[in-house]
Amino acid sequence: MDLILTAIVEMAQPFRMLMLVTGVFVGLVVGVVPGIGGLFAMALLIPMTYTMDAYAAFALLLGMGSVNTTSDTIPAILFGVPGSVGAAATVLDGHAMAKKGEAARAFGASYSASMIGGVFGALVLAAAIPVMRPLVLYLKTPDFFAICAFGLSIVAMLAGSQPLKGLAAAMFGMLASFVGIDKIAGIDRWTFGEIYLWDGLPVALVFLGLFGLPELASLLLRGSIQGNAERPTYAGMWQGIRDTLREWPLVLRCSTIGSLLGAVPGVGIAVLDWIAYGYASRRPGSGPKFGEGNVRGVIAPESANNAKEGGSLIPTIAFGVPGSASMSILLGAFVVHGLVPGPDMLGKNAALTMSMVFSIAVANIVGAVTCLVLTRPLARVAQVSAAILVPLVVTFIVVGAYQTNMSAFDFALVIGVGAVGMAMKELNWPRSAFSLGFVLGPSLENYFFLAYQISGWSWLAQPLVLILLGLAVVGVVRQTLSWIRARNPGGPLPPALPDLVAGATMTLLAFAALVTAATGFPFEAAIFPIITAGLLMVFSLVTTVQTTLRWRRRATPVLSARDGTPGEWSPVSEPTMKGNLAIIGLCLALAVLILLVGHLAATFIFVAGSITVLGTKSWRSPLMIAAAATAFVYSVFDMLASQPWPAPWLAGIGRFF
Amino acid sequence: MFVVILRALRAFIAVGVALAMCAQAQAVEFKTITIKVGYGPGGGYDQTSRLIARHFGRFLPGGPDIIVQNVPGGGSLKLTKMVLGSEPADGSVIASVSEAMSYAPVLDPQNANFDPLALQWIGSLVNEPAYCMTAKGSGIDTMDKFLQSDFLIGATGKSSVTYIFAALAKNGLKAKFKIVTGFDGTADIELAMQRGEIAGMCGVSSYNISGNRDTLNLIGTFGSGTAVGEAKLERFSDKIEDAKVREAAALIETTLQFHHPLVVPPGTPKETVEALRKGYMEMVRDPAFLADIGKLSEMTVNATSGEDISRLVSKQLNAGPDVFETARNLVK
Repeated sequence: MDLILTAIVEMAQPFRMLMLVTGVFVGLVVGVVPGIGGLFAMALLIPMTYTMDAYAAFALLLGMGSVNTTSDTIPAILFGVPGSVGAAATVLDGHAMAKKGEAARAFGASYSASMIGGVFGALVLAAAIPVMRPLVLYLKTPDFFAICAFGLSIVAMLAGSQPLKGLAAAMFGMLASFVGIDKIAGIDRWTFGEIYLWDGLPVALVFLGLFGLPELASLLLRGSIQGNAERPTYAGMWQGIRDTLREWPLVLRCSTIGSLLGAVPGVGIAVLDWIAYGYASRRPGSGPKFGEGNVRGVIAPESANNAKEGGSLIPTIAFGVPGSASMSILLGAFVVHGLVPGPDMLGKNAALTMSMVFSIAVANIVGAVTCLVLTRPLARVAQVSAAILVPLVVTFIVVGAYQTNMSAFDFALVIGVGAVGMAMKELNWPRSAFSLGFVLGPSLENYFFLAYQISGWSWLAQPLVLILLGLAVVGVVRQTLSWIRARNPGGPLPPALPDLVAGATMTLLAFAALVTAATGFPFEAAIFPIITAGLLMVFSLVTTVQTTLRWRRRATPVLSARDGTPGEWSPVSEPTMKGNLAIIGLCLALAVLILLVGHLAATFIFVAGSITVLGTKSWRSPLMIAAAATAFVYSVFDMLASQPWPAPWLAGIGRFF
Repeated sequence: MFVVILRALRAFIAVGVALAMCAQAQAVEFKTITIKVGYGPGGGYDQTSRLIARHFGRFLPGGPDIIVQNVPGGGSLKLTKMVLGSEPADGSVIASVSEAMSYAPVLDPQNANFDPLALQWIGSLVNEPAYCMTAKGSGIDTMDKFLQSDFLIGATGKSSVTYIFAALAKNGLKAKFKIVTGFDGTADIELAMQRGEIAGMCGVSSYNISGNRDTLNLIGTFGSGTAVGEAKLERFSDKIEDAKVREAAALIETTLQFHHPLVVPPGTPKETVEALRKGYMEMVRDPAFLADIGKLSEMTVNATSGEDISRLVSKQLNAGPDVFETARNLVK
């Protein structure tokens, strides 16, 4: 109790509170803008804390880190573009709600869930202080493997109406995650000699492309976010908050998932988000189906991803082992302030540890309230013409993507993945299953080999491992039984011919991966890719055969209007090729412009030009919007995150004159 | 038509050359410098670079602003290749890369296409030995037990110092321990040591020891010297009997003398390099800089000048191909 009081007294100093609030605002901005993650912002802020005292420093850093996952839902709900990797799961139902005119409700639900989750995570951290070290020491490497395997079994919940495609998508995601230099044998897998691919496909870019671009295509076709749905009301926000309160058991369970998994090194925010989402999808409640605008699909991931900050501090404080990527940067702040993670943080410096709990809790509350205040203007965005929104969002996706590595490959990757995402959306290959496979693949492989190197196979008999693996098997079996029972769910199916082509392509891809892995990689580096590619080949081959039969019979009506709302697990019911091509075209145009004239001039030209082309009456507005967008890009990507941008090609040529 | 183009080209080249000469004639003055770090945010390279960015400008003509950018990839191999290929050679970009880049082409034939000698070394922060250590609970507390018992040593990736030095001890001295690879970082390895899953790790610097010295046994060192406040320990390479293997081990140990180096691209003008080297050596003696770095990880600055690093690297690369071959096998 004394400890709590000391911490509160220490934190009550105006400068420290100011730093906390500053951190929260920086964190909110960083969360909204795709491409700059909390990780990067943390690295930028650390040098600024050198001259502060430790309380102020951690208030700033944790204030920033705690709320990116609150504001990253804004673009996710409005545009289907995840503001950070932690918002990808929120896209599915949050954006679907916005399309139905329920943006305000989705915001209300998401912010309130974020706030409760965040405070819950802080409390878990506080409660863990006395037992932290024994707790972390209790979990051994094999347990981490089992946790990841259990997480992967959630894929079964995400597989949807065509389960084979779901499983294939998960394997495809895992296979994609193996690209890069592997950690065990140290050889490069499918990098095609490109250094860019050595560290694997960047998660942030993959999620931006996979979720952001396909949603933009349909936004373009609809004309505005909510199409013809009714006008959003401010009351929707209160309804969302009430939803969260009504679903309190779900909020608490997902907060628990978030804070506990957050403490497991290697299980990042991208993983626990999907796990919480998959968990919630088992009991969809009364609303629409999952993926079609069910509010539980917003509440679950949002409470989980804010709860993780408190959880991931546990191993960081207790052992100096970062529970997440941004925690490894936070460790830098520890050393700068002469703090050694370990017993001291729980004894001598316990008041500081407690102040971190306080910072996380307060930051989550301030962040959520700020966002709630902004809901009304933001919900109005849902009615703005797509001709204006699409160019702006494309700009943020493409500039944000370029910011990752400042390489032309960034464009290629985000656009390529975007095209894959469009195909997956159209042909009912769940992107959620892909994502879970993609984020869990490396941890699964790595923890497996660590466990195997340390104790052969004997670890399989450890109690926690047995329990977790058992739960995973039970979950998958139960789900499989329910699939068999509902042999013909009768949901709408995508057109047969493109579906056939996609299935066959995937089979061939899997076969090629299998062969190259089996012949080109040493055993340790090959075994996981071989298993994954093998399963992918089987699943996609069966899907292809099924589709072929359907195509030959031509019996099923290709598109039934039975279920009006297209969502994550039902194919789109309108021709979207035009929209998809337009979005890819816009992205390519902007990418080329950026390479030619730099990101600022390109933003101006692109926004003004594409708004004009997409259709607007006046000449003034495109120029004004373009100028505002350019100023915003400058303030975020050049001032807030000051970094050198590569010289544009034209400037290179200009130098000779 | 062609003639016109040719003439235009010639004019461009003339102007370009003139401009370049102008630039050379001027006294060296820096505007904005970017320190590119070959690793992601958060690690030792990133932290030291951000600290250097805070101070370095004061010691350079023109008092430039210095910003830091992370260019992670392949343990800084990506950045090294960029420095050798595409980065501007005018002092506006400095790179913080792994000291292991100095022998990367030697140890991995896949990288044979680049020349570490072409890099211009500015200076390095740390020159100190590396250790093998074990947890007290493992019971491995002497060199003899370390070389003859069956136990596990933890390492991160195969190209990391934690692996290279563990392998050097194992292969050079026919030790029996096994190396477990795939840990995320040294903190992870230390945690696994505390859990009792593995016994110890190698290639660690004094920083890894400082926090929990009383729970660790230090077994021996790589490279010369000893850390502040530690008794003199046996050096692993002294125990190697075969002269050629010892030479190969020494080649690998050389890099310990220039930990956390900075480099600039090959074509950087001599004056610029000299100004950077001079500023660097002034910086590492500056009390304010030392106070800042002292906060960071209780690291003791023991700088090596750019000239010395170049000398060490060329000596390192002068060894015969058979020594390289031995070195390759030593760290396999």
